[in-house]
Amino acid sequence: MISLENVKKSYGHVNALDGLTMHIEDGAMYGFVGPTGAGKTTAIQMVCGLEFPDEGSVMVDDMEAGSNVRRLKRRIGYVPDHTGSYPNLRIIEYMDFFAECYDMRDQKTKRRIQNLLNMVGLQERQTQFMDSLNRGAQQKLSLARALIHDPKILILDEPTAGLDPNTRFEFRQMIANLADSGKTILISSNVLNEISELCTDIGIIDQGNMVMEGKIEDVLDQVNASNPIIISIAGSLGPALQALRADRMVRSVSIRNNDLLITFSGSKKDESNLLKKLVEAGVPVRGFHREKGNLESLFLQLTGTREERRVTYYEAESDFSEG
Amino acid sequence: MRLNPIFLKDEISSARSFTLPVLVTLVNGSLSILVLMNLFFISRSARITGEISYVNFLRIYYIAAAAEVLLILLITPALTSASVSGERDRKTLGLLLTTQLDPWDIVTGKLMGALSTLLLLVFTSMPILATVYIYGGITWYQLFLFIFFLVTSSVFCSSIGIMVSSFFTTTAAATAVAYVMIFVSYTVMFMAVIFRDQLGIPENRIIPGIFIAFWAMSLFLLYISKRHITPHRRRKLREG
Repeated sequence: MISLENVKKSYGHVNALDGLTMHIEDGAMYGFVGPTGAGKTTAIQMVCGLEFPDEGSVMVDDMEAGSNVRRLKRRIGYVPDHTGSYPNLRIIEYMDFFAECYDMRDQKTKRRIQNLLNMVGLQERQTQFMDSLNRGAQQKLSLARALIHDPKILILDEPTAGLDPNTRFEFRQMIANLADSGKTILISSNVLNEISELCTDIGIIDQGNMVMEGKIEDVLDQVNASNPIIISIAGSLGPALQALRADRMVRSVSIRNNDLLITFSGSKKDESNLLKKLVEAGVPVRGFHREKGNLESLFLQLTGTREERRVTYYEAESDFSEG
Repeated sequence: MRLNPIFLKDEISSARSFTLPVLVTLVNGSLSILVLMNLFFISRSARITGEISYVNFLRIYYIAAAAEVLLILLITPALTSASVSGERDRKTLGLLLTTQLDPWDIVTGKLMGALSTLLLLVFTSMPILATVYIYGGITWYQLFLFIFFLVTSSVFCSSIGIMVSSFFTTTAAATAVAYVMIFVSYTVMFMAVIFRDQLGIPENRIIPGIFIAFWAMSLFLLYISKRHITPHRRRKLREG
């Protein structure tokens, strides 16, 4: 298990992490999301033992991260957002070198290297120099390198940034297969669809703070609850607006095309009562549903960029209040 | 026996670059030119005066030895000041630190890489220095002392290069600082030799003293490099 408790880190006057708390269970596939500069890489580097917190604690399997315990280093595989390559080494030499860094030199290691290169599709190119590889191939090699010592925990910092769609898809498949093999995976990314497709858990960080964390289904359910209800009406909107005005749980109403979008603070039962009221008031309701949320809308909402999106989405808007 | 992986990796890289053969050619070429020119002037003088001055042969040795020391001092910062900063530039230093390698392994691997090049230069230049033996000249002890001084200088200058390389992000700045540090260190050493009487250092202690000081400083510089590249918890300033 990886846990960060109230972690603070500053560089000069800039607070990179400001009381970050984060928990990753064994076997989880944890998506770490946040805007650029939110502190993702700093947090990841702390888990890898490359940075230390000014305050708080970072624990990996009950060992303090960065404590230089060989057992701990053996458990973590790290794929940074840059490949970290030696241009005049061949692929196979690069892999051999990192195997040596883990004190692995036997025949079993040679076989493992071949299997890993095969997994990432670079076995045929193993005698090529690293500077001949494109970004996608370098990232695949970086993944193979991180797995050389068969770590229990794999940490990937924006691994698919800058990759073409095909390579991104291949990379996602590889990560999904690794997750199936029982590894704990921490992946940071700005591609929210990728996170929602791959991960079991998610943490959203903004300005060095965790703003939301949990199982991905639970998080999406919460998003749905905060989304507007869309009411489609056949005919005039007048009676509907009158009925809505009478309900205290309706916070605001806006009009999009011929639909009403209402912000509603009630429970699911209150929602059905509202529908009942509309029907009883003679409003010809064609549709009544809550707008589906996605990770992107949640991300925008939590990181404070929701307002911009609203403006672009809604063609017409009418404030509604009882005065 | 397990060889340092950093050293092995750097050896593969350096074997593939033009730097090593160019360096060996330049150093030995310039030393050869120096020695041959000296021999030429000795023989020309002999043709004119009809005398062969054996002292002049010894002069060849001193000139070549001084030139070699100077070349080592000039080459080492260029060889080492990108050692750690290069890993940082390539973003590989972090990767190395996440492996089971100890930061000390990284520093010693870099030192071994630099020394392998410098010692290659020292030993390939031995035949040139051996010209002094044509007519006899120096004792085995003097030769041993000279080689030991070259090795000590190689270790010391490499340690300076590695240390500044671990502090500076740009290779140019690291190289400049390394040259300044080497210049200051050797000036102090020569001053200590010249003014040993005024400083009250007995003559039989000056040479061992210099060697001990250089080796001790080398270890200290390597220790500082190791400390600097090791991720560490920032010390809190005491309040009040």
